Amino acid sequence: MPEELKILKQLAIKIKNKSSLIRFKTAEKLSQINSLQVIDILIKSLEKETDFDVQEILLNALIKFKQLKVFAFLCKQLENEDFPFWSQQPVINALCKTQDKQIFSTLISYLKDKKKSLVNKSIVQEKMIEIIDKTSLHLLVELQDYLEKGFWWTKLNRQNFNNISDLIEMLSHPSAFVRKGAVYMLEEVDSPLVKPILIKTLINDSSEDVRFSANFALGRLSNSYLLPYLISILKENNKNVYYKLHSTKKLERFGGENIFALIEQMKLDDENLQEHTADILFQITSSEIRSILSSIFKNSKPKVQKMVLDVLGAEGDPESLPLLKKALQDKSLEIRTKAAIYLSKQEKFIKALDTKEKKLLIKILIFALTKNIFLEDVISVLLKTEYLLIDELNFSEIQMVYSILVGLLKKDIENIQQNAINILEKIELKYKYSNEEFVFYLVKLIKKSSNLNVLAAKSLLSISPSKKILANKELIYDLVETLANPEINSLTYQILEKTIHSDIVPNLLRKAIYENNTSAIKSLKEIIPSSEIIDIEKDINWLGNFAKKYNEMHRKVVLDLNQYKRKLKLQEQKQEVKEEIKDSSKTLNDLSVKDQKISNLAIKSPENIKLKDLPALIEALKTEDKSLSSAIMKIFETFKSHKIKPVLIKALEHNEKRVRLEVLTFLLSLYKNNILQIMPKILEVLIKDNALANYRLFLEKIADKQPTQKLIELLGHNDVNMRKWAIESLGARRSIKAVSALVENLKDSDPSICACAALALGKIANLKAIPALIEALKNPNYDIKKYSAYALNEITRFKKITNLSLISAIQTALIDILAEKNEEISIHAAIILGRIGNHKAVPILIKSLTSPVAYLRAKSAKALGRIASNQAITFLINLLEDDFDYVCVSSIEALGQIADKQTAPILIEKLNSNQPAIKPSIIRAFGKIKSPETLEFLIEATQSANEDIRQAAAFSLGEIGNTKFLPILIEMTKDFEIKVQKEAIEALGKIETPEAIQALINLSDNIEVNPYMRQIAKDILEAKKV
Amino acid sequence: MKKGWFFNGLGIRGNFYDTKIYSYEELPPIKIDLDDDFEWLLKQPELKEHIYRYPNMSLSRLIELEAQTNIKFPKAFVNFVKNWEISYRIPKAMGYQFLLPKECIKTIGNYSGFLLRFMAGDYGEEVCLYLDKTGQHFVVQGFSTIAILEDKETSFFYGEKQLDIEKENVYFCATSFNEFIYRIWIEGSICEKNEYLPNWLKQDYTNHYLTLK
Repeated sequence: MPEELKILKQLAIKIKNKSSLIRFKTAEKLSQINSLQVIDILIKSLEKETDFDVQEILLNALIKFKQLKVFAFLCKQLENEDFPFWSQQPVINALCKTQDKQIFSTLISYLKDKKKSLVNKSIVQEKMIEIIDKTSLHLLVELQDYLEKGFWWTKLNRQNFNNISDLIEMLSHPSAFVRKGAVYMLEEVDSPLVKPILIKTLINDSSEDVRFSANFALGRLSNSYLLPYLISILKENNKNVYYKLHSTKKLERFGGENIFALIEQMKLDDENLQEHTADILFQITSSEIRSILSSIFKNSKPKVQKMVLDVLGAEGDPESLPLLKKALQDKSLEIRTKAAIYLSKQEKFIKALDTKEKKLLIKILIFALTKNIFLEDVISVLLKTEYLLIDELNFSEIQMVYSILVGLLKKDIENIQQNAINILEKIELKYKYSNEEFVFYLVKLIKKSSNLNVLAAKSLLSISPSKKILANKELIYDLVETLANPEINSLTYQILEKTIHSDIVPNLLRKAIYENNTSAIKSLKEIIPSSEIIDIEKDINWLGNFAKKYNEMHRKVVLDLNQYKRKLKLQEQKQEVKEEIKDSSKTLNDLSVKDQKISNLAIKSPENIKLKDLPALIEALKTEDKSLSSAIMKIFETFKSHKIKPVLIKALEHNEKRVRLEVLTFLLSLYKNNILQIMPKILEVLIKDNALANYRLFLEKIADKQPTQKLIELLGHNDVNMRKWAIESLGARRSIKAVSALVENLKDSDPSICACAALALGKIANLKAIPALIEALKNPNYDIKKYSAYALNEITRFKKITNLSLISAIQTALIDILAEKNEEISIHAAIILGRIGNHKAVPILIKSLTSPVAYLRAKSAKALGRIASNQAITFLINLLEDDFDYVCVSSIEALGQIADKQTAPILIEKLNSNQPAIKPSIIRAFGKIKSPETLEFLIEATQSANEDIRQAAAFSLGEIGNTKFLPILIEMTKDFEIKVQKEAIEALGKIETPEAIQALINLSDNIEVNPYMRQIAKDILEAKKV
Repeated sequence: MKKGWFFNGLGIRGNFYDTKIYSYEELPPIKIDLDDDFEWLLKQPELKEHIYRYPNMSLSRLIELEAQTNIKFPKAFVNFVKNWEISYRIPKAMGYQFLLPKECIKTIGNYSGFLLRFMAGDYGEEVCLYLDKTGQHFVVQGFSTIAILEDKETSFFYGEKQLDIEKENVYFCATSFNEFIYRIWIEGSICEKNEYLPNWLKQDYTNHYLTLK
């Protein structure tokens, strides 16, 4: 529809706008259009777009159209080597959003490419795995090497596999990797079918990895179906202990009825497995298991026996009694001890023992105590069997137990200490050992603020040690100290009451009074006779007076300190106030020190500064202190702009550079639309101060805001700098409108204007400028010559010149330039002659081959190659020995273009040199020279490890165009590197035989091939009108 | 000319987040025989998380830059560009990437020659080879100074693209390209906990700074 076309045309223009905001809005509009005609506009604008946001909208708009052209473009962007890797991310996102399986081959080759960014690769992986479905499982296999070992299957899109039959089908996929994914997805499906399927996989799958996964999955789906299979795993003679251990863990949920497998497992010689199995057995209650375990016990290793005891002993089942009794006589101390412990734990067991067995049991326990075996358990059972201790042991044995237990009090383990205290207390009560060491430890424990202090105090009270023992002053003091602890002070008081020694009491009282320990005072006063208390109180009075005096002194000091603190705080507050006004007053204070003239300003606050004070402030901008100058700028801002402008413009003439530039910067911010008024002055200052480059961004921004016509008008401005600035800006804008006006300026009497104009014309690159530029080349001024040559270089780069007389005129002028041997200008001349030159330029170009400037030698060689002059061959061959590889490459390219078969042997010889950089160009030259002796080297090059050489080989095989190379080229279309593939396809296009065309048709129809490559093949076929 | 080494503290001379310019003179001495073919580095295994290298760092671009400057580039640098395998062994650190520019920037003043930017960081850090006209080189570190010039259009009005490195925010950071690669490898390895970094080397680095303290 014409209306739609009109809108499209408008949008196509708008999307080229300089402003990214406009482009953004236009892109949004474009994305709403569904017509196929928009594709070209989108592709063209994306090629030039630099703004990421706009790129993203355009890309999203583009991927709506599932056209080969679109895919090809996106793939091409992905291969674009000059594209920074982060800007490829929107392309990757877009490619993945296409959900097109054909695109995947491109993405897989992207993953294979070592040169691609790892960040992008991980994005590709994630995106790809999200869109894999049942039809694209082969991609999952291909991705296998790139997926992290982690939980990749969690990223598979469940919506793509929501049908259980698909998942079941996946389980018969040849790749174990795919089957593993299926297993994990099945685990999440809520269906009764799942379990039998997984069990089947668990038993039948050929891959251990998949079986593992099925095992894990089944573990989560706990179900009685599973039990027999788990047990069968345990019974399997499988060496993988971890596998079995996991199955065992699963089995834990199913109770004891299938416990045989576990028991079997106990016999395996793996500690972890046995331990875990025992854990499970421990939790299982079944009478059946006991008899079996008892039967195992006889022939098992100590470790297993120990575990069996753990299982049987814990339950206290009477059936275990014979086994435990038997175990009391076992060789292993550990087994014996275990049996003794389990027997002691149950009163019914102990009752069932005869005297001999009881004695044996208690001896085992005591022996274990001495050997530190199962200490905690042993002590806890000893407590239960204290009557045994007392009844069954003789005096010396008891003494031994006693000393071991006292020793154990040192151990800082509460359980042990607690039980030890209990046992010791009972022994003490019975035998009255009055052991000093035991009392000592008890006092220590009372003093220590732990959970045991009450127990220890109670114990000490109950054993009521003799006065003799507590005569130790240290112990008494320790106990008095504990009077401060409300938890135990009544207990300690009772202890003290019973045992205290009168000699030390007065001192204790003094101490208690001094420390104001009321409970201690109370307890002590009750013990001390009243006469003594009076004496003590006298002493204390004196002490009290002293304390009073001390307190007064202390109070005074505190008062002083508070005052001092207050003062300090005030000072801080003052400092803060100072900080607040720092920006303005500091500035002026500083100034007053530096300059007498403005000292008056220092005492003023910023708001009181008047217009007449401005010169002084401007003067102060001399400072190197940036905070100072920005403070002054802030003061400037307080003035109305029309008042301050004239003063500042005048200040641009200040004799200090720093002041001028500071003022100029401020002025740039002050002027908005009418900035052109002061531009001449600004440019003058910037040029004088050599600061144009620093202010380039500002000036370019100002220029951007001016309409083209305004800038063209400025070309007639009476200020030279303004003209130069306008010329520069028109050049940067690439304004074709300005060409005629710029050509006029090229003839200006001021050489700098001419140079500027030449450069601008080069940027615009319009054919109309050529005659004037040829004239300018003849100008003696270096800059004019240089930029005119540059301009001609740019124009010939972008535009094709058809006017022969014009070509001839350029050539003549350039030949003269080359003869002047001016290096930088000559390089431009050589490049241009390479594009438009003919045999007339050959002699001077040959002369340039000996220039000391490498780049000129290279460009001259290239030019000679383009002109294809046989005269140059000898000179070009000489150049093959050049120090610079680039010169050699240029010379080889030139020899290739001249294509003289006699040069082939020389190039073959050069191929063997140790210069990797030149090899691809030699291989390319072989394609041009088409000499039979180079063929073997070409075929060898197709197998090179270097992709540039392979690419060159493909190019040359195409150039030679022999059908016998077809199989090689077809093979090369599958190369690992995209650029080699592309070159091979293009080479096929160069071969004019039906077989080659058929090969191209096959390529363009093959959906496995990268869409970019298929499009190339299609384009070639279209060009051939096939 | 200012000297300095811009990196993080490695947890040795400062903490890991303390990225700043450290004293060049205080850098530990090099304990490996550096060769132009980087055999010392190629002996190391390839790293999964290696420094990123733009495809534009190609031999064909390099030899053209060489001809443009008319200066032969240091052998070690050419070998580095030639062999991708070398960069696969340098750990990813500080967001650096290897690349080649479109052109070299002219330098003026006491150090007249060219700057060839070969490395860029995420925050405008730039590492360049300085080449004088006789082909002598050293490595300098700049901060958003050199790449800006590369991007600017040719201009007669605003002046040529050139730089006086003594007057700019540019620091001398290695006497040779070889030394720079060694430094970025060892510091990157310490920073990224590269398991293949020989323990004695790491120890030596740590001890050096401990001795300084």
